[in-house]
Amino acid sequence: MAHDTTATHDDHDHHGPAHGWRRWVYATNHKDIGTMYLVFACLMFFIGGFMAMIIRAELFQPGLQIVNPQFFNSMTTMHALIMIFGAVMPAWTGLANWMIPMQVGAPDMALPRLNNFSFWILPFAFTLLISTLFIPGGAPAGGWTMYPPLVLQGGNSFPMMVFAIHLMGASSILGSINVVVTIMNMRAPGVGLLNMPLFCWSWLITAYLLIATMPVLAGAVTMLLTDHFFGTSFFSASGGGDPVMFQHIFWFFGHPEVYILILPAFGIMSEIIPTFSRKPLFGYDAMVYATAAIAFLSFIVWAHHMFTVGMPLAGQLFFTLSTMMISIPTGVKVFNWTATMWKGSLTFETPMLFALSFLFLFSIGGFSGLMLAVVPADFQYHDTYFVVAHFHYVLVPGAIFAIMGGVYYWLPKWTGKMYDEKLGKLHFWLSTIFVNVLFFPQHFLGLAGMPRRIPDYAVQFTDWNMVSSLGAFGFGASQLLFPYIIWKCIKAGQKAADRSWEGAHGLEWELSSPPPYHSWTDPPSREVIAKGVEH
Amino acid sequence: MNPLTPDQVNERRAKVRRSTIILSLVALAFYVGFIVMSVARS
Repeated sequence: MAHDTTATHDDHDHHGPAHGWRRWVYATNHKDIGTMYLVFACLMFFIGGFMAMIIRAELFQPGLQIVNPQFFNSMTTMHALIMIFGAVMPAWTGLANWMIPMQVGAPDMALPRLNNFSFWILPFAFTLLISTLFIPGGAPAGGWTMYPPLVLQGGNSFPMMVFAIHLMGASSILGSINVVVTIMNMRAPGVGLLNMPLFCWSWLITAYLLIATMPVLAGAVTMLLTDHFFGTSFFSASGGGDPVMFQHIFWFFGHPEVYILILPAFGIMSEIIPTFSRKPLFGYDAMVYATAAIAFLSFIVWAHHMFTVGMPLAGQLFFTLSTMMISIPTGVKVFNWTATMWKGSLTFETPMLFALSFLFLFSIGGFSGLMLAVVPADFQYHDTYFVVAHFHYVLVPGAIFAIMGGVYYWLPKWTGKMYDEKLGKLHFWLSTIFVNVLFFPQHFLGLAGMPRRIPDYAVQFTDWNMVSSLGAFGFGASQLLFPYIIWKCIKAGQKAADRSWEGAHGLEWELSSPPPYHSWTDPPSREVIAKGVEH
Repeated sequence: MNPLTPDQVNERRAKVRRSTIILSLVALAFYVGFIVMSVARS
């Protein structure tokens, strides 16, 4: 097998990476670009996380202690924008870049130069966005949802935010086109759509979602821009426009965006759980159809974010029921993962621990989502900390834990070395304990009526805010372990086997660890494919 | 290993080009479409 998969050929793939900065600036290799995406996402995770620490420090007790309300609002806005567009989405794109070509038997992404361009847009976009912290008037403070008319009062930071969002959107769209084109056209002969790994499937569907929704966000912020600078009245009631229309357009993007952030996590779960259960995934086809069903439904539920705006009863009923319907394909997935583990030979290495934590804690986020889908209940919960708790349960122990689980799972493949399992488990336990200390009390605060996006609060909310803040500091500090573990793995890890995990299946495990700089320059043979996908 | 023939490589190139153009047009249509829809509504 090594003969088949290592870079010892004397044809066009004999050359290695360029040296120095040229390797990264001119990168067209999917592994290099994947690495850059992941490093960028990690950097943004810590910048966005630092902003979260400022928020939680301010909320440690009532009154204004550390920052003024304007800056506090900037922190909530920037934290969201950075975490969503700078941390989670680039992390998924990084994983896609690393894994999809290896998993489908392709030599690289279909459009390598476009791939380079997609990545290098991002540092400019986020430099632009973060630089608003240092301009007169400060950073955007109207919330990541950018509702007019509030956002139009944002001063100099407003056009910079809009331009940054256009750049992020362009990067995502180009990256998604690359993923779709790669999966649809670059699969090795013998790798069919219905035997490729679930991670590729979930990314394929995510990429279609991105192509359909990111332009909608771009259109919405373009209209905000023209309202502000060119005298149009798309969202200005005084000029005959409708500010509520912005909310409809924004959430037509925004709700699929939630699934853009979580569907690749489902793909990772479907890789990790079978591996550490030493069993094939239960119900592969059902998982594919469930993912597609979730993606379809995500387009017809947007108005559940805006029940309190007011809408006809028929609209309320439609959006409540369509939202609740999402729990059906999601339930299929959760039950299939559980069935995969049933009577499996389970072991609990770090990736599996993150996967199990994901299963429990993401489900909590799903259940609170169901509560929010009920109109009269939503009238009570809307704009409270209950909503904050809900989406953080979905995105932190959901998306972020899946990313971390995926990194631990494939790190031995990428580096050819094993990470420190003890430290990995320590990272897992600290993260899981503190994430619950951080976000679970926010359910209580929300149900008791504490509004979100405020720097001060009534004294009866003090105790749970203190607990939540302590959880935040613990969670933030424990994340420092993550880059340390990766660094230690690269520098001093023990040699990893080509098939680093006993139960792992997939074409990537047929390659050497680390894989050659150019892998699958010739498509894998039918025998290698059969071996790679056998369950 | 199962090297692709030059014909297969050319065919793949053409498919890549075609699907890239189609997907770019889809994205563009969503961008322009929502703006046009907003113009029509307001």
